[in-house]
Amino acid sequence: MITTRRDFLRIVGTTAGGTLLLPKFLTAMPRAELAQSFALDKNILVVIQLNGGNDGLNTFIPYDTPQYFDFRKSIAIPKEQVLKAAAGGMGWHPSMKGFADMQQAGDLSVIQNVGYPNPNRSHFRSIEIWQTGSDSNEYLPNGWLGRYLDANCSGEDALGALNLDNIENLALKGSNNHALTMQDPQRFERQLKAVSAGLDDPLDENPNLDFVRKLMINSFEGSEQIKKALEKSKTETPQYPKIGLAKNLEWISKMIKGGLPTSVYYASMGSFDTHSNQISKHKNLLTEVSESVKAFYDDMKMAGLMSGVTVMIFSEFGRRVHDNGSGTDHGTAAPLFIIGGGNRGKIIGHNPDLSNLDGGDLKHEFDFRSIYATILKEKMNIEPVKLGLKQEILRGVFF
Amino acid sequence: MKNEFFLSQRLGFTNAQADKILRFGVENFVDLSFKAPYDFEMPTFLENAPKSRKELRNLKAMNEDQKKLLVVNEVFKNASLAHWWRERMYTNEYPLREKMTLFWHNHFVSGFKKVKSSWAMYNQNNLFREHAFGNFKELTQLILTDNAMLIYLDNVKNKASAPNENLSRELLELFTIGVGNYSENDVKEGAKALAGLNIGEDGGKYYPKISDNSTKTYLGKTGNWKANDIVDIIFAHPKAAHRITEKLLNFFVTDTPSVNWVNEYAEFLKKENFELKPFLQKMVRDDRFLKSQGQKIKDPMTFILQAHHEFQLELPSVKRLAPYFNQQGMVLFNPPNVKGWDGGKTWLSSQKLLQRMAVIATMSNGKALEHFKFKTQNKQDEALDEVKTTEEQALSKKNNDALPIFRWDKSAKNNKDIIKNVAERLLFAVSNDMQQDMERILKYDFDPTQMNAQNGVTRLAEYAMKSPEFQIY
Repeated sequence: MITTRRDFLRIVGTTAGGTLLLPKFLTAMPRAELAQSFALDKNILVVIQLNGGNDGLNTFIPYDTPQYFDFRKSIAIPKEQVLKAAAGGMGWHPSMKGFADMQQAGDLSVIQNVGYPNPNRSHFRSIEIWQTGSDSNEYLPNGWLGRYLDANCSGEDALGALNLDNIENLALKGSNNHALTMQDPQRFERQLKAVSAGLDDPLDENPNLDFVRKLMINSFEGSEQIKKALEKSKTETPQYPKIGLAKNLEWISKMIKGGLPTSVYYASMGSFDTHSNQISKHKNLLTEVSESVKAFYDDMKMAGLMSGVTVMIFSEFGRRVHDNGSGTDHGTAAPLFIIGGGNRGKIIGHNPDLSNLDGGDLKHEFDFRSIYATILKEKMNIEPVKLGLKQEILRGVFF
Repeated sequence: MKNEFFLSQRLGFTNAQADKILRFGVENFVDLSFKAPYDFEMPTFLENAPKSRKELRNLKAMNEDQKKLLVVNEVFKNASLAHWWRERMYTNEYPLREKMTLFWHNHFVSGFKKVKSSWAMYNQNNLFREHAFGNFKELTQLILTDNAMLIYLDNVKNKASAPNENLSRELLELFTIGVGNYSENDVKEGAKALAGLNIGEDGGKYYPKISDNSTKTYLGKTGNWKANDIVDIIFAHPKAAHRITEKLLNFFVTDTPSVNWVNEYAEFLKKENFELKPFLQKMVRDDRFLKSQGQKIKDPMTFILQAHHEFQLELPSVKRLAPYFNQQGMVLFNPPNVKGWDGGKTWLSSQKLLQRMAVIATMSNGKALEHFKFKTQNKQDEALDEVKTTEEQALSKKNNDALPIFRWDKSAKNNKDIIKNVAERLLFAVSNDMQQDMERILKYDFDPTQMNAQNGVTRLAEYAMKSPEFQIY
């Protein structure tokens, strides 16, 4: 089932009550005088990884499916609170207003029931499967994007991908090193400012460690390019909330606007492992996701860049359909979100089928690798099979 | 870091001796290191190196092409010698002797670029090895008749009729009592005492025709002094032990030893008549030694040997490693100047750090450095690239097929055990942030028996070994 923006408008016109959103996509359009002139010489992919297994059913909610309320007595989101999105009885968690807005604007696609055969419920293993793009029983040393970078980057190109995290990401690991992991961009920026202002605050009590930390900040390969990009991107941007993911996305926005040669950005956020006390935990997590991504979206829209920037948001698995009393245990398939990049703003796939479970878990409808393949082929201009991805591409995601 | 790993790295280069230290205790380990046998067998690549004074003299008669060929060959032999030494550091069961040899190399500095004879450098190296745990005073006497040193500090040009003060000056300034404890006149008088001391077949000797037999006043003592006499005079000076003590503490314990600490150990060394063994024993018994984790920046040698050991690799060919050491600024037999390597923070720069990261990334990617192309930067590297000798081919062929496999305790039950184990081996400190990061790499449901558990643990190792903490020990 595919729900288009047109369907959505129809729903808006006919459904009453609740917290249904007014169609604001017209006012969300960038005002011409504010639009900055930024140009992209390539398509850009921004991957957002939700660590810990995001509960898809409580993110994009089948509020019209009675079993949803039966199976999730302690954590179901009341129907009247769901931000009803489209025909077919799906809607957003009340904290996901930003996502609802982007969908209304026709810039967000939902691909439902994404997973893989023989799902593994270990965080460690499942994220490894997602990051390497392997089969459930296959072990690959490199990441799917690492293979892309190997194929696409020249020898000493260290800025093919930028990973905003404390740890390196297996998805970006290739045979060669084309991905840069920046541990703390804010600190990097502060340091650059401090260095130019002649300040020298210690980063650690141990003078040796302080010394090496500072060296590391200055020894980023590409730090010069990043510095230049920061200069170039200096412009009024929409306000980003002061939360973790937003800070990283704001940084990514600066790099994109500053014309960094990077084609892949990666940000992670956690932890979605809501075994207990899910209601309040998940609310906070989704608020951060929604507000952060929406701020980035507004920023890209204003800069006129959204159609060249594809955002993909995923998690290593969804969660068990039945709640455990106050939370949910590890599950399988879940929705995957695509924002921008000229996607068609559709809801692709069937609504989660809660009457046809596999050992209490959702069956997957789409293999995550077919989405990788779609993005690689249609946005990154490379044949997925060259990177070992044999899955069929998914038609109808992008224009 | 657990003590046994820390001690293994500080008294050697890698974690390889941790078991022994744990089993025997560090004092016994040091004793065993003193007693461990070592060989003097000449490496085969030195067989056809020019050795005698006569052969060296012949150089002058060579034409340009012959000279060039000889220089290239000698450059290669010297690089092989460095490699031969690194292998000893890496594979010896008790590497403390090699570590002390390295210490002396960086104290009584000579450089191949000036000495130009691999044979002379080799002999000097063996002198340091033999006297690694010997007597500082005796070694000072011996170094004054070492051919490489006589060439390096120009004593070959020091004649009664035309004195050269270089060796005399460094003997005071760098080798022993240091600036502020002697006068310019002492340097001049010392040069007279050393005049005529020139290279010979079995080390330096006085050539009477060019010696200076006048009466000299050296550090307040008057007589017709020769090399051994001036060393006797120097070692009677109250500051004779301070400089070497500070350097030893720097080398083994901390980049910044306190003045009191230096004074205490210098007095001790003097009391022990400059014998090194009691000094080293005292040092390893000292609580302050164990508490000095994190006080030293890792030198390029320790870094690369440790990386190879953790990834269970043999050392790559000389061709692969020489460029690493060039860029890291630690070329054996070619310290930057007579002062040697300053150590401490000079071991690192942005560039050097990046290269170290690249080494770890390469190994974590399952590739040995054999396949890692360092950018060549200088003529010596290029010369190495051009020379295709049989020795070189043999060396580079040796372990082309070996792949890095990170060492970890496979009996570990869960992620935290593995993280703890890795941290205890490799990191002098683990902040909460690091712990959290590592638990994100190896999540709580990581299964150590899973088929590709090795890959997961390798990613953990990569994180640990790329951390600022790993640059320090």
